[in-house]
Amino acid sequence: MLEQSNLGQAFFNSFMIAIPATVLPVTIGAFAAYAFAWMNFPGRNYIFLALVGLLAVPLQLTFIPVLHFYVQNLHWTTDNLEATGIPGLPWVPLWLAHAGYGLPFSIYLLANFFRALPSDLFESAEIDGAGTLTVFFRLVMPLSVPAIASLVIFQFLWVWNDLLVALIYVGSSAEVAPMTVNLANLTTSLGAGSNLLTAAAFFSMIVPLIVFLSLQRYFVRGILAGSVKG
Amino acid sequence: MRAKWYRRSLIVPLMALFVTVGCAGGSTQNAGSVKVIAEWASTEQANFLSVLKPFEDSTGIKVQYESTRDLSAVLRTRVAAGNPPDLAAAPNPQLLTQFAQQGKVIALDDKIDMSQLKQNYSQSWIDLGTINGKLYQVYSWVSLKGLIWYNVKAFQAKSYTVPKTFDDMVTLQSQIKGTGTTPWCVALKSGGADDGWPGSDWLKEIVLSQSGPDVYDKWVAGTQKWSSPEIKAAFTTWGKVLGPGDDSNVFGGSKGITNTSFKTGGNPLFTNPPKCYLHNQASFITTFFQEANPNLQPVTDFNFFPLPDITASYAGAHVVSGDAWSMFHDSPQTRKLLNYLTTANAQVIWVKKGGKISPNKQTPLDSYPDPISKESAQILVDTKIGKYDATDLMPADMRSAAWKACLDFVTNQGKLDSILATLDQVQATAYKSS
Repeated sequence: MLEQSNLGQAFFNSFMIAIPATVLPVTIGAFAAYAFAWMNFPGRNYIFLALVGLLAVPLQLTFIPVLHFYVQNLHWTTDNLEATGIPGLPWVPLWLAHAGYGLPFSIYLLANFFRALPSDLFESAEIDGAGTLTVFFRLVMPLSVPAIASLVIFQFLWVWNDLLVALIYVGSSAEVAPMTVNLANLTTSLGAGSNLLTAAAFFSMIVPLIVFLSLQRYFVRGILAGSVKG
Repeated sequence: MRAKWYRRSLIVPLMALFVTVGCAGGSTQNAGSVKVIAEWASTEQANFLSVLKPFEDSTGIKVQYESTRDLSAVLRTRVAAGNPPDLAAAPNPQLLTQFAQQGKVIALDDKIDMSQLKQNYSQSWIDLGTINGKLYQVYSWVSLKGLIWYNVKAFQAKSYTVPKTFDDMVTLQSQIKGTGTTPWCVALKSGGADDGWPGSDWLKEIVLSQSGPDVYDKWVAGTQKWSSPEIKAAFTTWGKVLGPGDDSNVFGGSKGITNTSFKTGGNPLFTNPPKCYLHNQASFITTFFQEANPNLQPVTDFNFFPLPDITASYAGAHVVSGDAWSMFHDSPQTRKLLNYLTTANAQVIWVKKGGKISPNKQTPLDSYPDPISKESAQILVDTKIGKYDATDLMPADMRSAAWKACLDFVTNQGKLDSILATLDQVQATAYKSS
């Protein structure tokens, strides 16, 4: 079964797509959210508003212009990228696309979370001589683990379960297609073969289950307990 | 200093990425490959790949086959973005016709071997792929619509005979009804937006056989009104089959029709005693017969007859459908592959695996694996008036409205006039937007 329908390869591809496509928007989103929450720069609120507005743009709207840009301006077709022989390169357009689709939400979620951190913390850190990056890595990140964990779950599940975005940007050739595309191809055009579909769908479900169960304890952990003394 | 270290660590790999990809962009084109996209997945994909194998072995050209069940979305996006495949096979030529009108696909007249094509295909198949006088689409595998399936043993037990004319069929159905059994099984459920399409099959076959190819063509093109006497007559003829006014000729009545999936719709033929004796569906339905009742054998347990001719002057008219090939990118390799796909040698490979019929005159009838597909191939070869599935050729809005109209008609036949008026309204706008 695994051999016959290329399920093993597709499983690997799904990881190769989902992990960078989760890490990218969460990392960039965290940096940006910190800036929006705690740094002063002109037009901060307007830029933030514009970003939140992007949440309402249906991603289907972006397929043609983004793909056109990839193909016509950058020459990033799956063929060209595969021809370089560098492993992972064919997924770069997809990673960037997923990062773009995920960023508005991750910035919005994290900025709201960061804003709620007590300002005393930042003042005392500044008095102790910490620079912006030190505050970010030593203070904000450790305190925001629950928010980041939930964001990672959201983003990972979305990318893992995505069919359409992968179909548009990388297509369905076996070397690059993720699980979802492979599953959709298990049935014939008349719907025969749905028995295979349920079994394979369960196989694809295991990963999101593991991700959720291993990260869910962060949801319930006390957020700021004991972080500010006296 | 720390800050700089962080910044640099991010920038360097990003730069490296963009530079490598940027360089890769220029040098392209693997010599000798063809990109093909179609809807065939799973076992169909395996069958198609076995068709390609001899071609790849003999020419050395590599065929990169991609399959997707969401062909129209993928194809539309790729074409609009300037990244189309070389060849595509679409089960719905309306999309390809649209591409042809926009100049996105290439006319095949001087690209493929036309004399070979004319030897292999009857003129009606070439006409089906011709748009504005130029050939844009060719067919490799097709299916025949309007087959009436029956349970052979149940027919013999009651000594019913296969009707030769439409009137015979009406007599037969009242004969069956007289014994207290519903003569027909009709199932229109497909899953969400596609509900109703099996009903539109009925309609197309009746329009073509009753009113002829000219009305059919005008109907497809949107110049024949739905409320015109010809199309209205098709609905009432269908109503005569279903049971005038109340669907009383069908197992389960109107509720049964709208709530039964087309996949299982024919199964009551094989219960003991049968719940119905006749079922209209395309040739693929045998897969579902045998899935539900693995012991059934073609010809001894189930068989079919083509929907009898309604008007004698249009005898031998049949509705067909199939996957049409269109060329998006011209290269010597693509031409070679398309030429290969129109030969009997290529088509016969899938024909032997079952489930497909070749429109090619040179395909030997002996190569069909079972008597049923051989018989439908025989009908297809003998077809005098071949017309492509009408709703597949109509714009998407018109198509969904027609499917829905079939459901509405079955639910309440008395509302026919208002159903037709709604269809006329859709017709007035649907053809403009496409």
